[in-house]
Amino acid sequence: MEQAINANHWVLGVDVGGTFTDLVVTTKQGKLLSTKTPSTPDQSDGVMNGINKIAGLLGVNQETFLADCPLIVHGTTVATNTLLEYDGPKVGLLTTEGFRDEIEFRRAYKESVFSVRLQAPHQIVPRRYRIGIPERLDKEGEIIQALDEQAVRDAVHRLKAEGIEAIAVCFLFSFVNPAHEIRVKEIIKEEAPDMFISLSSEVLPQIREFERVSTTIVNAYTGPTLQSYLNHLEANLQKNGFRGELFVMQSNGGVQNVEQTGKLAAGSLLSGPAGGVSAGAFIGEKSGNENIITVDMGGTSYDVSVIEELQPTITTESWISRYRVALPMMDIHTIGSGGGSIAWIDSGGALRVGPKSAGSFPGPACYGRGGTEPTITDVNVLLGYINPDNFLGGEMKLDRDLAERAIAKYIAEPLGMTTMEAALAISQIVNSDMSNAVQYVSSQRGYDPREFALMAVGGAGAIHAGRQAEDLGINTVIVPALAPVFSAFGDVAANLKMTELKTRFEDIDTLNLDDMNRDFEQMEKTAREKLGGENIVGHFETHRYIDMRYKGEVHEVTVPVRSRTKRITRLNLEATIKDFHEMHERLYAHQDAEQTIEILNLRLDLIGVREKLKMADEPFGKEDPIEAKTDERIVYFEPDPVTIPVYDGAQLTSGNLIAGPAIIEQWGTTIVVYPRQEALIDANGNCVIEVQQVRGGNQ
Amino acid sequence: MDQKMIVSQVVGGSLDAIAREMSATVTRTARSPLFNEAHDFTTGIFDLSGHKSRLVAQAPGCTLHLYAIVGAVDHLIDTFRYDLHPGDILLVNDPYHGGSHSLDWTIVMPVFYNRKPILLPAVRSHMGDNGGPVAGGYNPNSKDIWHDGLRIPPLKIYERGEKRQDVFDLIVANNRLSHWLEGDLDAMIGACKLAANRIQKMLDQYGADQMIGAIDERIAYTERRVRDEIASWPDGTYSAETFADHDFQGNRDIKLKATVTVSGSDLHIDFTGSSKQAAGFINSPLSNTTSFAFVGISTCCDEDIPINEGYMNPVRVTAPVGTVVNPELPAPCGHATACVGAEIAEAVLLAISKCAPKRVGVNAHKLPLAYTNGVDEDGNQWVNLNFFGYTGGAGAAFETDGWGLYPPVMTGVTLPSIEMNEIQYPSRVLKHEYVADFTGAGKWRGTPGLDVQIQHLADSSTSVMMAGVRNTTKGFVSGHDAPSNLVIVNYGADNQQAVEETAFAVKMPPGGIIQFRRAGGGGWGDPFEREPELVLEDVKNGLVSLSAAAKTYGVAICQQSLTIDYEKTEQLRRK
Repeated sequence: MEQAINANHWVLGVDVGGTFTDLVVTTKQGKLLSTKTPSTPDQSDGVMNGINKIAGLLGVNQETFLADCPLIVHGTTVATNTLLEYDGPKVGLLTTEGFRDEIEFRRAYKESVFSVRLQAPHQIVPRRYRIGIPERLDKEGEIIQALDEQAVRDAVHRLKAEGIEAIAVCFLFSFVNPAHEIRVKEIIKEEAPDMFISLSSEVLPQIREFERVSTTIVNAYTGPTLQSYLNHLEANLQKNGFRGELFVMQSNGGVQNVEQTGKLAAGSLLSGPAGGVSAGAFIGEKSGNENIITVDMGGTSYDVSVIEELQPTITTESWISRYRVALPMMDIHTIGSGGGSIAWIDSGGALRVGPKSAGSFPGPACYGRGGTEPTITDVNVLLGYINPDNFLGGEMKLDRDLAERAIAKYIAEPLGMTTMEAALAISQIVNSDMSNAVQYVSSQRGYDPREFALMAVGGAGAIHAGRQAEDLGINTVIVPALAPVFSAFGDVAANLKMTELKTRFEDIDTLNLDDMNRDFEQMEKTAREKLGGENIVGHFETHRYIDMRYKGEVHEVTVPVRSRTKRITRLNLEATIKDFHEMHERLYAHQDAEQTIEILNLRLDLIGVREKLKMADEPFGKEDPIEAKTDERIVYFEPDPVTIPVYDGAQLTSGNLIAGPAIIEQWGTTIVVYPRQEALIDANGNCVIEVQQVRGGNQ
Repeated sequence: MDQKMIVSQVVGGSLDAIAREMSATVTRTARSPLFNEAHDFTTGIFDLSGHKSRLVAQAPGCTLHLYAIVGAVDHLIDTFRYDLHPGDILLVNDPYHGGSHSLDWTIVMPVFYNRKPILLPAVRSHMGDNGGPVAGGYNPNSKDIWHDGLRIPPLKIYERGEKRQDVFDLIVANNRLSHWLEGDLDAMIGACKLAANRIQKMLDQYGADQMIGAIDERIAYTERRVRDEIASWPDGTYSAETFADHDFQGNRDIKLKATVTVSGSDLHIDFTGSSKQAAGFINSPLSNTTSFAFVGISTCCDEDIPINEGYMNPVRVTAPVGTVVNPELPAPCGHATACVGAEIAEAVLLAISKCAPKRVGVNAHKLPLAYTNGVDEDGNQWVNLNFFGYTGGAGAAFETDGWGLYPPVMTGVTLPSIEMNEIQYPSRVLKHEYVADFTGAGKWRGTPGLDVQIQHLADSSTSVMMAGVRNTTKGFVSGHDAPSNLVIVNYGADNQQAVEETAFAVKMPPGGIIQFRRAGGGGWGDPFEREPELVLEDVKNGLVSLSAAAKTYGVAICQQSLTIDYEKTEQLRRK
């Protein structure tokens, strides 16, 4: 009976993080349920445990739950971890003869401009597995030296004999003419049928050889592991009754099926955090905030990203684990400030926070697992922001004395301060580090943070966000109701997305419009074939973009093309050019109507739009939150303590207004409402804090 | 330590962040690729609390500019100290007014509080052109400072918020890349204005006294840490000399001598004994000399030390007037940021290597520069700087093999893409790869040297300015020196020419090739002490030949099995 009612009703989002596996389920009625379970070494075990747990919350068994679930969207760190820990398979590279070291040259980039002691990055493909193949194309894609097929065969034999499991192929100008790379793929398949193959013309058919070879190598390195993990997970789900589709969150904020994800593993390196940013845009829309800076403060890091007019900013400039990955992805800036970041005094007597972290083991001193050095979590316990008896809903007890001892020993005593002064100083330093990061991210992209709302997620984000808003001149802080499982929530809400790219290098004046339309048409067709998802998609949307720049410039602007039909008309193109000038002005502070415009790439996003996630709005009830008040406690905003009310987030209802200073405790997050701030619980249970700007007098 | 220290850290951290924001703004808004791709600029913030300006915060772009900006701001402030008004913006490029070479321009904008100038954001950058006889500014025929290009003494380009259009016009009229120049100046000014707004906000929040107090603390902190570093070096006087090959006017083996005296936490660097100022354009004005000395010292210190005036307080630099490290008018200086800049840093580091060997790394850039120009089908001039040919040469340091291409001193400068180069110029890179046995060996070795071949597909002519041929990048602590750079114009043709010192406008037919054999960096420590396994790894990777493994490193490797013969290795190394 129950089964019949709920048939095809759940959509599940599962995000696997370093510590926890988060799950969110939606029902057709717009109900949302969430839970967390510890992550496991084989990520699929944690996923199955979580499914069991959430099925229990729904009152059904796992089999029934899975049978009635047409769609699971998964955020996974399998590819990311492979790259971060360098534990992927042995990879070989075939490249144009004479150019096998571009991956080591890195266009001369080094992470430090001072250090003569900075070590070289780990070589995923040692030089002996990088083999130059006689062949060469010119810039038009014309063959000026034919592919030496025997050299390819010999190279594949050699690599196979060395135990290579994946081969990356990257030839100069293959983005214009992929014939040689395609032929190499055929030869590899003949000579080594089980080899994982990553062609640059498939992974990133785009000009600039270093960016392309690096991305292609990363793809070869992460692909086999991700592919086998996803196959294993899918089989496991099916064994337990799952007959729906498994999709994976991609770094660009769209989702794709298992097959595509396995082929383009380099596209899912931000699978986890991208879910969170997508969720940020969704909540932004629900709460009426189009411009948002999301900050995610976890155990070891602090991630900043910008959402403008509900669109998360996308970048192609990323470095991950010292490798260049030039696929479009969410623009997420990370600094090493998290709850586990350790406070220390350097040799010059300055108080510093991070980047060293106590991680989850031994973890902060207050965890009582042998950690002795003071962390941000210890500071937050000592200052009274975190309730040691109610951490993770009381699942974990924290030891305030250990926190105090750590701060006293390592910071307060050496600096001759009281322990409380030391804790406040650490707090001030870390807030300032994080605010500077937000300010920098904004300036670099040409934004003013004062025009944005600050959305705080992650375990510790909402403790610090109120202070940062003051530092940055931001008036609104949003703490989403689902902050503790935010990425999984984003997984549930996301659309399918397939990005195609084609390099067309030419002046816009001499552009053949019909020719370009044919390219776009072909790209759309390809995208459609790859996208899949017929069963879960309502309709498809196509977005076309042209990468343009003024002749002679080194950076290009991705300009959206607005057309009302499948074809781009002369008028559409003219409008696009006009938009280019304006976007150029905003991004680079100048425009030049006289200057010749060059086209670099055509881009096409095919979006498989899913039925919009429903979230039922709760009517506003009483303004007075007194019924949710559970306690009062002593906290320190400055060396003199104040006693402030504590509210249980679970008992707060829409319309409650909480005047700061106050603390709201909810499972997985603590919100600090600072003096001169007011928090309102909105119709979706999000906590929206209004910040009054003060001037002068740093405390 | 008290609340003051914390405020100092917060203020200092914010000022550093503002300098980084300025840097991001310049990158984003400038026109010339030298800014937005090569990042050949730096941004900084100064204060004006005492009698002279002090460097307070800085964002590194190209480290060459790191301290040169200090000299330029000093001169601007000396000139206008009693004539500063809100809305003023100052400019200087003259090597004889605190500059390095005249291609590097510095802009400063004072920020006022209670009608007093308190803080000064500044940007220093390598401009695309500076007038003079040669496009792009590197004129090997330069015989005096006027041959280098336009000299701009300290002046105001904005006065009380008004643009001085006449001054602007004069500057723009003297520049080949006027369409870029205006945009680049706007970018530099824009960055200063952004910083001025932020700084104004901080002044409102903290007040001038608290800000200055915080800055004093910050500078004292840096000084403390640099002094700790120096104090860890044994007291004594250590001297080293090195040579630049020539001055492009036929004078050879230009001497750079550095005598470093460590006494407690004080450091004195004395360049007495260096050659007289040269006839050619390699002379290093004092600012440039100081800058390269500090580039050297900075790499010996921990890199998390904030860069500010405190870095300089423990260090005294002596550079006798009339020498190549402190020339007098009208000596030309156009090449100073490459030669003798590289040799200045090298001499200082060689001297320090005698007392603090584990702190020094090889950090000289000895660039064999070459530019090729021609006229395209539409009659437009093009200049290709052949970056691929000389970008390389990173040296070794204690526990660190050299890697990648440039040494840290040039890091920040990005190499263009080979494919983009082929699209933008009638030019094709035929080869761009490491070669074996072409770097300084050592317990830790330099980055491998390169074999680069660049073909120019149209009629063209090429000028080459060689360096690192007779006097190559030095190895440290018994590490071997780098081999010699080699550049061959019209490579493979009957008239091929290996350039000894200078080649000026050598004609190349369509399809003409330039070959660069760009040497790697210097090594650190005795190659016979290198871990045999690391040598084997280099052999397997084709970076060291079997014979070099035996001869240079004393490691016997079996050709068949590619394994180390430890017994034989021990024998080889006993010798």
